[in-house]
This record gives sequence, structure tokens and C-alpha cells, in this order.
Amino acid sequence: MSQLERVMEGLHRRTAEGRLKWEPTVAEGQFVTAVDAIAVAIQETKWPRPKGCRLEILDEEGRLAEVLDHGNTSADQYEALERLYAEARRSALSSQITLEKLAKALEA
Amino acid sequence: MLRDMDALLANTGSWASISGAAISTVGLIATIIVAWGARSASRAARTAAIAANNSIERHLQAIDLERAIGLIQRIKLLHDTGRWEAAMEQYQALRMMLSDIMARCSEDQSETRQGLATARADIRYLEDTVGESIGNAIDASTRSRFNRRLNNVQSVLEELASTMGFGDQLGETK
Repeated sequence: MSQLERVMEGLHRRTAEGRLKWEPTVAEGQFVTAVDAIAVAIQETKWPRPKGCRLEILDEEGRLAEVLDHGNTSADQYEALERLYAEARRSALSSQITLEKLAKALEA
Repeated sequence: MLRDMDALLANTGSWASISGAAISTVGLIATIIVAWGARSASRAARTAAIAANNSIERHLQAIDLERAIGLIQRIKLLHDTGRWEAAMEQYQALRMMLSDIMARCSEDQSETRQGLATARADIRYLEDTVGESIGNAIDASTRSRFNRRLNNVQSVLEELASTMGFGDQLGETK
């Protein structure tokens, strides 16, 4: 397993276990989390069409250390990236969904 | 008579050897106890020094967090008055401040580092988004979205500060 695959597997596992909480950033369709001092951001992109996604890793100093997208990943890796985006989105928006449900319940 | 004397001397020699060995053993045990005590005292002193150092670092972190929260308040004011270029300069200052707080984190503050790293990334993306929007007119709803993110970062910093035991003082800066 390559280093990238280990990182992706770790992010998937921790997100699924609820140990990694993603949060929406101010940018539309972008979510961020951190493992110790290393931040990870995943966002929806317009490329490849109709929608793609891109992962950015910021090092301990907050500098951009790695970018993963359609251009530099294998088909399997990119598929894993898309799955991670869906999980991150779900994790980030879960509290928002709860609020919406509560608002609907109160309206009824 | 001489034989008796020889036997007596021989026995005396044996007793002297035995008592000598016993005294040496007692001395050795006493030395070990004293050395162990000194080692424990040295360890205790070192633990106390580490605890004092951690306490100072946390106090400094709390002061830095208070400054960062104050800066967020200023940035929100810059947003409200549409001074975007000035806000751009402050984002960088805020990120550097968060990096300084992270650098002060001890090994056992992994969750604090995680919260700060997320906040710093959040500010970075806010900076990017504002930078892209500066040429265009930023409407009230977008400004409100920017401030909501800042409020979120502020909440994280306040929560971190409260875990350091300075929450009440920081609460006043809201």
C-alpha cells in the first residue's frame, strides 16, 4: 500500500468512525479537518466535468504540502477521493441536517 | 595456651570478618536508600519543573488566544465596514498568531493542535475567498457568511481557552 493509499484509508476510516469531524469552510463545497497539526481540505471542483474533487494537505506550518486531484491520481485513488468527499460532506452537514429536521418538526 | 590464643585470634578474625561484612552490607543498603531518595527527589524536582513550564506555556497560550479572539473581532469590524484590503492583512496576522499558539502546544495537547490547525486552514480559505471577491461588490449576505465562519473560528478558540482555565477572562472579550 502506497503512502497516499494509507493516508486515504486512514481518512476514510476515521471519518466513518466519527473520529474525524469535517467542517464547512467559507468556500462553497469545501470541507476541512485536521489530524494533529496537519489540516486536510477537500472540495468540489468543476473539473473533470460535470463535477470533480480535490484534496489539499496543509503541513504543520499551514503551508500547502500536497494536492491530490484527477490529474495526479490513479482511477482507484480518485474513486477513493470522491468517496471521501461524500463522507466529509455528510460529516460536515450532519449538524445542519439535524437543525433542518428540528425546524421542520417545530413547524408541524 | 598459645593454641588457645591462636583459636581465639582465629575466631576473632572470623567475627571481625562477619561483622565487617554486615557493616558493609548495612552501609551499602543505606547508600542505596539515600541514592534512591536523591533520585526520587531529582525526579520530583524535574516533574515539578515540567509542570511549572507547562503551566507557563498554557498561560502564554491563553494570552495569545485572547489576542487572536480580539483580532477576529477587529476583522469582523473591517468586514462590516467593507475594508477588505485591511482585512486581508489581518488574516495573515491571525494565521501567524495561531501558528505561534500551536508551537507552544505540549505533546499531550493533540486535540488543541487539531482545533487550531482547522481554524488556521479555515482562515486561509477565507483569505482566498475574500481575495477572489475583492474586485466584485461583496453583498451583505456574503459578508454575513464570512462573519459566520469567523464566529465559528472564534468559538473554537474560546473553547480552547476555556480548557486552559482562562475561559472567564476570555468570555469578556466577546
